[in-house]
Amino acid sequence: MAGTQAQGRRTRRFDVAVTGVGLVTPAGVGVRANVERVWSGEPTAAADPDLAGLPVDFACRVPDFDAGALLGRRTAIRMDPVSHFGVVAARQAVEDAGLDPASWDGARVGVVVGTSLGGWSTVEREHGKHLADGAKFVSPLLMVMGPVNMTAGYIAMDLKALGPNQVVSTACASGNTAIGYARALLESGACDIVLAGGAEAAMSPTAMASLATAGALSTRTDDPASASRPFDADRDGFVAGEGAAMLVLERVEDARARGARVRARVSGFGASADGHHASAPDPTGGGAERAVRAALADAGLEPGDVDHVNAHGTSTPLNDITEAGVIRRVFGEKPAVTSTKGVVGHLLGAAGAAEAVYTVLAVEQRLVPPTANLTSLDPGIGVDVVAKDARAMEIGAAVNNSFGFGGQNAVIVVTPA
Amino acid sequence: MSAQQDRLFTLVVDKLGVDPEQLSPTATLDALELDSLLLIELSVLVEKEFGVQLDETALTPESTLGDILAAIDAKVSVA
Repeated sequence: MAGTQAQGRRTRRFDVAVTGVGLVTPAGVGVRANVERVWSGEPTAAADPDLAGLPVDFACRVPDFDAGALLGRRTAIRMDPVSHFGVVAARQAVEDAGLDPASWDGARVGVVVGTSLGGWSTVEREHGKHLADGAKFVSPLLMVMGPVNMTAGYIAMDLKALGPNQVVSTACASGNTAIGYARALLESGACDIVLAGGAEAAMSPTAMASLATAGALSTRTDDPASASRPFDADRDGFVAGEGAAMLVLERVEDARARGARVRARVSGFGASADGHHASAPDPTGGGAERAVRAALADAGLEPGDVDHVNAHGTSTPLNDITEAGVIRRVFGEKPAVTSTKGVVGHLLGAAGAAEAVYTVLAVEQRLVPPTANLTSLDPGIGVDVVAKDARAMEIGAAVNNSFGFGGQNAVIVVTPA
Repeated sequence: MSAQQDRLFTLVVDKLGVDPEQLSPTATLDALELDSLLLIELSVLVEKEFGVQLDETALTPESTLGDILAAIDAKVSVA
Protein backbone atom coordinates (compact mmCIF):
# COMPACT_ATOMS: atom_id res chain seq x y z
CA MET A 1 0.00 0.00 0.00
CA ALA A 2 1.05 3.58 -0.57
CA GLY A 3 1.48 4.12 3.14
CA THR A 4 4.56 1.91 3.23
CA GLN A 5 6.43 4.80 1.60
CA ALA A 6 6.29 6.40 5.04
CA GLN A 7 9.09 4.00 5.92
CA GLY A 8 11.12 5.58 3.13
CA ARG A 9 11.95 2.15 1.75
CA ARG A 10 13.03 1.98 -1.84
CA THR A 11 11.18 -0.20 -4.28
CA ARG A 12 14.42 -0.71 -6.18
CA ARG A 13 17.79 -0.49 -4.47
CA PHE A 14 20.52 1.66 -5.98
CA ASP A 15 23.96 0.10 -5.51
CA VAL A 16 27.24 1.71 -6.43
CA ALA A 17 30.37 -0.31 -7.03
CA VAL A 18 33.53 0.40 -5.05
CA THR A 19 36.17 -0.23 -7.69
CA GLY A 20 39.15 1.40 -6.01
CA VAL A 21 40.31 2.43 -2.56
CA GLY A 22 43.19 4.51 -1.23
CA LEU A 23 44.42 4.93 2.33
CA VAL A 24 46.82 7.31 4.04
CA THR A 25 46.41 6.61 7.74
CA PRO A 26 48.44 6.14 10.92
CA ALA A 27 48.52 2.46 9.93
CA GLY A 28 50.52 3.40 6.86
CA VAL A 29 50.41 4.69 3.32
CA GLY A 30 48.57 2.30 1.04
CA VAL A 31 46.05 -0.50 1.38
CA ARG A 32 48.58 -3.23 2.08
CA ALA A 33 50.15 -1.43 5.05
CA ASN A 34 46.68 -0.76 6.45
CA VAL A 35 45.51 -4.34 6.09
CA GLU A 36 48.61 -5.62 7.85
CA ARG A 37 48.33 -3.22 10.76
CA VAL A 38 44.57 -2.92 11.22
CA TRP A 39 43.76 -6.59 10.81
CA SER A 40 46.50 -7.52 13.29
CA GLY A 41 45.05 -5.08 15.80
CA GLU A 42 48.34 -3.34 16.53
CA PRO A 43 47.77 0.20 17.91
CA THR A 44 49.56 3.19 16.41
CA ALA A 45 49.19 5.86 19.11
CA ALA A 46 52.49 7.25 20.36
CA ALA A 47 54.01 10.30 22.00
CA ASP A 48 54.16 13.10 19.43
CA PRO A 49 56.96 15.71 19.51
CA ASP A 50 54.63 18.22 17.78
CA LEU A 51 52.33 18.08 20.81
CA ALA A 52 55.03 18.25 23.50
CA GLY A 53 53.99 20.33 26.48
CA LEU A 54 50.26 19.93 25.86
CA PRO A 55 48.01 18.20 28.40
CA VAL A 56 47.63 15.35 25.90
CA ASP A 57 50.92 14.88 24.06
CA PHE A 58 50.26 11.75 22.03
CA ALA A 59 48.37 10.99 18.84
CA CYS A 60 48.14 8.70 15.83
CA ARG A 61 50.27 10.20 13.05
CA VAL A 62 50.76 9.10 9.46
CA PRO A 63 54.20 7.44 9.32
CA ASP A 64 56.83 7.85 6.61
CA PHE A 65 54.95 10.40 4.53
CA ASP A 66 57.10 12.71 2.40
CA ALA A 67 54.70 15.03 0.59
CA GLY A 68 57.45 16.62 -1.48
CA ALA A 69 58.66 13.27 -2.77
CA LEU A 70 55.13 12.01 -3.48
CA LEU A 71 53.65 15.14 -5.05
CA GLY A 72 56.64 17.20 -6.12
CA ARG A 73 57.91 19.95 -3.86
CA ARG A 74 56.47 22.77 -5.96
CA THR A 75 53.01 21.23 -5.75
CA ALA A 76 53.32 20.25 -2.09
CA ILE A 77 54.41 23.69 -0.94
CA ARG A 78 51.03 25.27 -1.61
CA MET A 79 48.93 22.59 0.08
CA ASP A 80 48.11 22.02 3.72
CA PRO A 81 48.87 18.44 4.84
CA VAL A 82 45.12 17.72 4.66
CA SER A 83 45.39 18.08 0.89
CA HIS A 84 48.67 16.15 0.70
CA PHE A 85 46.88 13.23 2.32
CA GLY A 86 43.75 13.64 0.20
CA VAL A 87 45.53 13.85 -3.13
CA VAL A 88 47.76 10.86 -2.38
CA ALA A 89 44.78 8.76 -1.26
CA ALA A 90 42.85 9.78 -4.38
CA ARG A 91 45.75 8.79 -6.63
CA GLN A 92 45.94 5.41 -4.91
CA ALA A 93 42.21 4.84 -5.32
CA VAL A 94 42.26 5.71 -9.03
CA GLU A 95 45.19 3.40 -9.63
CA ASP A 96 43.50 0.65 -7.61
CA ALA A 97 40.43 1.05 -9.82
CA GLY A 98 42.52 0.54 -12.95
CA LEU A 99 41.53 3.98 -14.24
CA ASP A 100 43.80 6.33 -16.18
CA PRO A 101 43.15 10.07 -15.72
CA ALA A 102 45.06 10.70 -18.96
CA SER A 103 42.30 9.05 -20.93
CA TRP A 104 39.12 9.44 -18.91
CA ASP A 105 36.40 11.98 -19.69
CA GLY A 106 37.21 14.24 -16.76
CA ALA A 107 33.96 16.18 -17.03
CA ARG A 108 32.15 13.00 -15.94
CA VAL A 109 34.35 12.49 -12.86
CA GLY A 110 33.21 14.11 -9.62
CA VAL A 111 35.01 14.61 -6.33
CA VAL A 112 33.35 14.74 -2.90
CA VAL A 113 35.66 15.02 0.10
CA GLY A 114 34.66 15.15 3.74
CA THR A 115 36.74 17.13 6.18
CA SER A 116 36.08 18.72 9.52
CA LEU A 117 38.92 21.18 10.06
CA GLY A 118 40.46 21.43 6.59
CA GLY A 119 43.72 23.38 6.58
CA TRP A 120 43.48 24.34 10.24
CA SER A 121 47.17 23.81 10.95
CA THR A 122 48.14 26.33 8.23
CA VAL A 123 45.63 28.83 9.62
CA GLU A 124 47.11 28.35 13.05
CA ARG A 125 50.70 28.79 11.83
CA GLU A 126 49.90 31.95 9.85
CA HIS A 127 47.90 33.36 12.73
CA GLY A 128 51.01 32.92 14.86
CA LYS A 129 53.05 34.87 12.28
CA HIS A 130 50.38 37.58 12.20
CA LEU A 131 50.55 38.05 15.97
CA ALA A 132 54.32 37.74 16.23
CA ASP A 133 55.49 39.64 13.13
CA GLY A 134 52.55 41.64 11.81
CA ALA A 135 49.95 41.39 9.08
CA LYS A 136 52.35 41.90 6.19
CA PHE A 137 54.12 38.65 6.97
CA VAL A 138 51.00 36.53 6.59
CA SER A 139 51.49 34.24 3.61
CA PRO A 140 49.34 34.80 0.52
CA LEU A 141 49.26 31.01 0.26
CA LEU A 142 47.09 30.82 3.39
CA MET A 143 44.00 31.35 1.26
CA VAL A 144 44.79 28.36 -0.95
CA MET A 145 45.84 26.18 1.98
CA GLY A 146 43.49 26.89 4.83
CA PRO A 147 39.94 26.78 3.43
CA VAL A 148 38.19 23.44 3.68
CA ASN A 149 37.22 23.30 -0.01
CA MET A 150 40.79 23.12 -1.24
CA THR A 151 41.37 19.38 -0.85
CA ALA A 152 38.66 18.60 -3.40
CA GLY A 153 40.04 21.35 -5.65
CA TYR A 154 43.57 19.95 -5.53
CA ILE A 155 42.33 16.44 -6.31
CA ALA A 156 40.62 17.87 -9.41
CA MET A 157 43.82 19.61 -10.48
CA ASP A 158 45.96 16.56 -9.87
CA LEU A 159 43.74 13.99 -11.57
CA LYS A 160 41.83 16.15 -14.06
CA ALA A 161 38.58 15.19 -12.37
CA LEU A 162 36.51 18.02 -13.81
CA GLY A 163 32.94 17.19 -12.81
CA PRO A 164 31.08 18.37 -9.71
CA ASN A 165 33.63 19.09 -7.01
CA GLN A 166 32.91 19.79 -3.38
CA VAL A 167 33.73 19.36 0.25
CA VAL A 168 31.14 18.30 2.77
CA SER A 169 31.60 18.86 6.47
CA THR A 170 29.70 17.02 9.18
CA ALA A 171 32.51 16.81 11.71
CA CYS A 172 33.44 13.20 12.42
CA ALA A 173 30.72 11.93 10.08
CA SER A 174 32.12 13.84 7.08
CA GLY A 175 33.65 10.83 5.31
CA ASN A 176 30.39 8.88 5.30
CA THR A 177 28.45 11.97 4.27
CA ALA A 178 30.77 12.37 1.28
CA ILE A 179 30.11 8.79 0.19
CA GLY A 180 26.37 9.36 0.51
CA TYR A 181 26.50 12.46 -1.71
CA ALA A 182 28.78 10.75 -4.19
CA ARG A 183 26.25 7.96 -4.55
CA ALA A 184 23.54 10.55 -5.25
CA LEU A 185 25.69 12.07 -8.03
CA LEU A 186 25.90 8.64 -9.64
CA GLU A 187 22.21 7.90 -9.20
CA SER A 188 21.19 11.21 -10.76
CA GLY A 189 23.50 10.65 -13.70
CA ALA A 190 25.51 13.81 -12.99
CA CYS A 191 28.70 11.73 -12.90
CA ASP A 192 29.96 8.40 -14.21
CA ILE A 193 32.74 8.17 -11.63
CA VAL A 194 33.03 9.85 -8.25
CA LEU A 195 36.12 10.00 -6.07
CA ALA A 196 34.70 10.15 -2.56
CA GLY A 197 36.18 10.05 0.89
CA GLY A 198 37.63 12.17 3.62
CA ALA A 199 40.80 13.90 4.75
CA GLU A 200 42.00 15.43 8.01
CA ALA A 201 45.31 16.79 9.27
CA ALA A 202 44.47 18.97 12.22
CA MET A 203 47.39 17.89 14.39
CA SER A 204 48.18 21.40 15.53
CA PRO A 205 48.69 22.51 19.10
CA THR A 206 45.63 24.73 19.42
CA ALA A 207 43.19 22.23 17.89
CA MET A 208 44.56 19.46 20.07
CA ALA A 209 44.53 21.68 23.16
CA SER A 210 40.86 22.40 22.57
CA LEU A 211 40.00 18.72 22.21
CA ALA A 212 41.93 18.05 25.40
CA THR A 213 40.26 20.79 27.43
CA ALA A 214 36.89 19.65 26.08
CA GLY A 215 37.59 16.35 27.78
CA ALA A 216 37.26 14.42 24.52
CA LEU A 217 40.76 12.95 24.48
CA SER A 218 42.20 10.06 26.43
CA THR A 219 44.67 11.32 29.00
CA ARG A 220 46.61 8.05 29.21
CA THR A 221 49.91 9.85 28.67
CA ASP A 222 51.90 7.15 30.46
CA ASP A 223 50.82 4.49 27.96
CA PRO A 224 49.66 6.02 24.66
CA ALA A 225 49.56 2.71 22.77
CA SER A 226 46.75 1.45 24.97
CA ALA A 227 44.84 4.74 25.10
CA SER A 228 42.41 4.09 22.24
CA ARG A 229 40.37 1.18 23.64
CA PRO A 230 36.85 1.27 22.22
CA PHE A 231 34.19 -0.52 24.27
CA ASP A 232 36.70 -1.37 26.99
CA ALA A 233 35.73 -0.82 30.62
CA ASP A 234 38.82 1.38 31.12
CA ARG A 235 38.36 3.68 28.12
CA ASP A 236 38.70 7.37 28.90
CA GLY A 237 38.51 9.24 25.60
CA PHE A 238 39.59 9.15 21.99
CA VAL A 239 43.05 9.48 20.47
CA ALA A 240 43.31 12.02 17.67
CA GLY A 241 44.50 10.77 14.32
CA GLU A 242 45.12 12.13 10.85
CA GLY A 243 45.02 10.88 7.28
CA ALA A 244 42.78 10.39 4.30
CA ALA A 245 40.80 7.67 2.61
CA MET A 246 39.29 7.79 -0.86
CA LEU A 247 37.03 5.44 -2.79
CA VAL A 248 36.31 5.23 -6.50
CA LEU A 249 32.56 4.79 -6.92
CA GLU A 250 30.79 3.87 -10.16
CA ARG A 251 27.40 2.57 -11.17
CA VAL A 252 27.55 -1.22 -11.01
CA GLU A 253 26.65 -1.66 -14.68
CA ASP A 254 29.39 0.79 -15.73
CA ALA A 255 31.97 -0.99 -13.62
CA ARG A 256 30.93 -4.33 -15.12
CA ALA A 257 30.97 -2.91 -18.64
CA ARG A 258 34.59 -1.85 -18.35
CA GLY A 259 35.55 -5.12 -16.69
CA ALA A 260 36.54 -3.50 -13.40
CA ARG A 261 37.08 -5.49 -10.26
CA VAL A 262 34.32 -4.61 -7.80
CA ARG A 263 35.59 -4.79 -4.23
CA ALA A 264 32.13 -4.30 -2.70
CA ARG A 265 29.04 -2.16 -3.09
CA VAL A 266 27.65 0.82 -1.23
CA SER A 267 23.96 -0.05 -1.01
CA GLY A 268 22.48 2.43 1.44
CA PHE A 269 23.00 5.79 3.11
CA GLY A 270 21.21 7.38 6.02
CA ALA A 271 21.74 10.68 7.80
CA SER A 272 20.21 12.52 10.71
CA ALA A 273 20.79 15.19 13.32
CA ASP A 274 20.55 14.70 17.07
CA GLY A 275 19.47 18.31 17.64
CA HIS A 276 20.62 17.78 21.18
CA HIS A 277 24.08 19.05 22.19
CA ALA A 278 27.21 20.58 20.64
CA SER A 279 29.53 17.72 21.48
CA ALA A 280 27.76 15.02 23.51
CA PRO A 281 25.64 12.41 21.77
CA ASP A 282 21.95 12.31 22.57
CA PRO A 283 22.00 9.81 25.47
CA THR A 284 18.93 8.07 24.07
CA GLY A 285 20.81 7.44 20.80
CA GLY A 286 17.69 8.53 18.97
CA GLY A 287 19.45 10.48 16.23
CA ALA A 288 22.02 7.79 15.59
CA GLU A 289 19.29 5.14 15.47
CA ARG A 290 17.32 7.10 12.90
CA ALA A 291 20.41 7.34 10.68
CA VAL A 292 21.03 3.59 10.95
CA ARG A 293 17.40 2.75 10.18
CA ALA A 294 17.36 5.22 7.28
CA ALA A 295 20.45 3.57 5.79
CA LEU A 296 18.87 0.12 6.12
CA ALA A 297 15.65 1.33 4.52
CA ASP A 298 17.64 2.94 1.71
CA ALA A 299 19.33 -0.40 1.11
CA GLY A 300 16.04 -2.30 1.33
CA LEU A 301 17.45 -4.46 4.12
CA GLU A 302 16.15 -5.70 7.44
CA PRO A 303 18.29 -5.40 10.58
CA GLY A 304 18.67 -9.19 10.57
CA ASP A 305 20.45 -9.01 7.21
CA VAL A 306 23.41 -7.20 8.77
CA ASP A 307 26.34 -9.36 9.90
CA HIS A 308 28.98 -6.73 10.67
CA VAL A 309 29.06 -3.22 12.09
CA ASN A 310 32.12 -0.99 11.87
CA ALA A 311 31.17 1.17 14.83
CA HIS A 312 31.96 4.82 15.32
CA GLY A 313 33.47 3.41 18.55
CA THR A 314 35.54 6.42 19.56
CA SER A 315 36.65 5.08 22.95
CA THR A 316 34.91 7.91 24.79
CA PRO A 317 32.80 6.70 27.71
CA LEU A 318 29.61 8.27 26.35
CA ASN A 319 29.84 7.46 22.63
CA ASP A 320 30.54 3.79 23.07
CA ILE A 321 27.79 3.08 25.59
CA THR A 322 25.25 5.09 23.59
CA GLU A 323 26.23 3.53 20.28
CA ALA A 324 26.16 0.02 21.72
CA GLY A 325 22.61 0.71 22.88
CA VAL A 326 21.64 1.72 19.37
CA ILE A 327 23.25 -1.40 17.89
CA ARG A 328 21.41 -3.62 20.41
CA ARG A 329 18.09 -1.94 19.76
CA VAL A 330 18.36 -2.12 15.98
CA PHE A 331 20.23 -5.36 15.43
CA GLY A 332 20.17 -7.34 18.67
CA GLU A 333 23.33 -9.28 19.42
CA LYS A 334 23.90 -10.79 15.99
CA PRO A 335 26.39 -8.53 14.19
CA ALA A 336 30.12 -8.75 14.73
CA VAL A 337 31.00 -5.24 15.90
CA THR A 338 34.43 -3.68 15.63
CA SER A 339 36.05 -0.29 16.06
CA THR A 340 39.17 0.18 13.99
CA LYS A 341 39.86 3.34 16.00
CA GLY A 342 41.67 1.10 18.49
CA VAL A 343 44.44 0.88 15.89
CA VAL A 344 44.37 4.18 13.99
CA GLY A 345 42.68 6.52 16.47
CA HIS A 346 40.01 8.97 15.48
CA LEU A 347 40.64 10.51 12.06
CA LEU A 348 37.86 13.07 12.64
CA GLY A 349 36.59 14.16 9.20
CA ALA A 350 38.44 11.28 7.53
CA ALA A 351 37.25 8.67 10.03
CA GLY A 352 34.06 7.71 8.20
CA ALA A 353 35.92 7.30 4.92
CA ALA A 354 38.78 5.24 6.38
CA GLU A 355 36.28 3.04 8.16
CA ALA A 356 34.22 2.74 4.98
CA VAL A 357 37.33 1.39 3.25
CA TYR A 358 37.98 -0.99 6.16
CA THR A 359 34.35 -2.13 5.91
CA VAL A 360 34.71 -2.68 2.15
CA LEU A 361 37.88 -4.71 2.75
CA ALA A 362 36.22 -6.70 5.57
CA VAL A 363 33.31 -7.60 3.29
CA GLU A 364 35.64 -8.43 0.41
CA GLN A 365 38.03 -10.54 2.50
CA ARG A 366 35.25 -11.99 4.69
CA LEU A 367 37.40 -10.99 7.65
CA VAL A 368 36.42 -8.55 10.40
CA PRO A 369 39.38 -6.71 11.96
CA PRO A 370 39.66 -6.76 15.76
CA THR A 371 39.15 -3.89 18.18
CA ALA A 372 42.62 -3.15 19.51
CA ASN A 373 43.17 -2.81 23.25
CA LEU A 374 39.82 -4.36 24.13
CA THR A 375 40.85 -6.47 27.11
CA SER A 376 37.85 -6.06 29.40
CA LEU A 377 34.53 -5.38 27.70
CA ASP A 378 32.46 -2.76 29.49
CA PRO A 379 29.59 -4.85 30.94
CA GLY A 380 27.11 -2.21 29.78
CA ILE A 381 27.98 -2.70 26.11
CA GLY A 382 26.12 -5.96 25.48
CA VAL A 383 27.06 -6.47 21.83
CA ASP A 384 29.44 -8.92 20.16
CA VAL A 385 32.65 -6.89 19.82
CA VAL A 386 35.47 -8.58 17.91
CA ALA A 387 38.61 -8.46 20.07
CA LYS A 388 42.19 -9.76 19.88
CA ASP A 389 42.06 -11.52 16.52
CA ALA A 390 40.36 -10.88 13.20
CA ARG A 391 37.25 -13.00 12.69
CA ALA A 392 36.63 -14.92 9.48
CA MET A 393 32.94 -14.91 8.59
CA GLU A 394 30.46 -14.50 5.76
CA ILE A 395 29.19 -10.92 5.58
CA GLY A 396 25.95 -10.49 3.67
CA ALA A 397 25.74 -6.82 4.63
CA ALA A 398 27.75 -4.47 6.81
CA VAL A 399 27.04 -1.09 8.35
CA ASN A 400 29.54 1.71 8.91
CA ASN A 401 28.50 4.21 11.59
CA SER A 402 29.83 7.76 11.92
CA PHE A 403 28.57 10.35 14.38
CA GLY A 404 29.90 13.89 14.62
CA PHE A 405 30.11 16.83 16.97
CA GLY A 406 27.08 18.96 16.36
CA GLY A 407 24.98 15.80 16.49
CA GLN A 408 25.47 14.99 12.80
CA ASN A 409 25.09 11.32 11.97
CA ALA A 410 25.86 9.47 8.73
CA VAL A 411 25.66 5.74 8.12
CA ILE A 412 26.36 3.65 5.04
CA VAL A 413 25.52 0.05 4.16
CA VAL A 414 28.13 -2.05 2.37
CA THR A 415 27.30 -5.32 0.61
CA PRO A 416 29.44 -7.87 -1.27
CA ALA A 417 30.33 -7.40 -4.93
CA MET B 1 78.72 32.41 -3.63
CA SER B 2 78.02 35.37 -1.34
CA ALA B 3 76.40 34.76 2.01
CA GLN B 4 73.45 36.83 0.82
CA GLN B 5 73.01 34.65 -2.28
CA ASP B 6 73.29 31.53 -0.19
CA ARG B 7 70.49 32.73 2.05
CA LEU B 8 68.25 33.68 -0.87
CA PHE B 9 68.81 30.38 -2.65
CA THR B 10 68.11 28.43 0.53
CA LEU B 11 64.91 30.41 0.97
CA VAL B 12 63.51 29.69 -2.49
CA VAL B 13 64.41 26.02 -2.25
CA ASP B 14 63.05 25.45 1.25
CA LYS B 15 60.00 27.69 1.16
CA LEU B 16 58.98 27.78 -2.49
CA GLY B 17 59.92 24.28 -3.57
CA VAL B 18 62.34 25.40 -6.28
CA ASP B 19 64.54 22.64 -7.65
CA PRO B 20 68.11 23.36 -6.42
CA GLU B 21 69.48 22.47 -9.86
CA GLN B 22 67.63 25.44 -11.37
CA LEU B 23 69.34 27.94 -9.08
CA SER B 24 71.45 30.57 -10.76
CA PRO B 25 71.71 34.36 -10.52
CA THR B 26 70.53 34.54 -14.14
CA ALA B 27 67.45 32.34 -13.61
CA THR B 28 64.23 34.31 -14.11
CA LEU B 29 61.36 33.88 -11.71
CA ASP B 30 59.31 32.68 -14.67
CA ALA B 31 61.88 29.98 -15.41
CA LEU B 32 61.63 28.92 -11.77
CA GLU B 33 57.86 28.58 -12.36
CA LEU B 34 56.95 31.07 -9.66
CA ASP B 35 53.37 32.15 -10.37
CA SER B 36 51.71 35.31 -9.05
CA LEU B 37 50.95 33.83 -5.62
CA LEU B 38 54.49 32.59 -5.19
CA LEU B 39 55.94 35.95 -6.29
CA ILE B 40 54.03 37.60 -3.45
CA GLU B 41 55.11 34.82 -1.10
CA LEU B 42 58.71 35.48 -2.17
CA SER B 43 58.40 39.16 -1.31
CA VAL B 44 57.01 38.27 2.12
CA LEU B 45 59.85 35.80 2.68
CA VAL B 46 62.53 38.27 1.55
CA GLU B 47 61.23 40.97 3.85
CA LYS B 48 61.18 38.56 6.76
CA GLU B 49 64.63 37.15 6.01
CA PHE B 50 66.49 40.32 4.97
CA GLY B 51 64.31 43.11 6.36
CA VAL B 52 64.13 44.46 2.83
CA GLN B 53 60.90 45.49 1.18
CA LEU B 54 61.24 44.84 -2.53
CA ASP B 55 59.77 47.27 -5.04
CA GLU B 56 57.00 45.73 -7.11
CA THR B 57 59.15 46.33 -10.17
CA ALA B 58 61.80 44.01 -8.78
CA LEU B 59 59.30 41.15 -8.70
CA THR B 60 58.15 40.40 -12.20
CA PRO B 61 58.27 37.08 -13.99
CA GLU B 62 61.23 38.47 -15.97
CA SER B 63 63.20 39.37 -12.83
CA THR B 64 66.18 37.16 -12.06
CA LEU B 65 67.42 35.93 -8.72
CA GLY B 66 70.42 38.19 -9.40
CA ASP B 67 68.10 41.20 -9.73
CA ILE B 68 66.59 40.40 -6.36
CA LEU B 69 70.02 40.00 -4.81
CA ALA B 70 71.03 43.37 -6.22
CA ALA B 71 67.89 44.96 -4.79
CA ILE B 72 68.60 43.40 -1.41
CA ASP B 73 72.24 44.53 -1.50
CA ALA B 74 71.25 48.08 -2.49
CA LYS B 75 68.76 48.44 0.36
CA VAL B 76 71.01 46.76 2.91
CA SER B 77 73.98 48.98 1.98
CA VAL B 78 71.82 52.13 2.10
CA ALA B 79 70.63 51.14 5.55
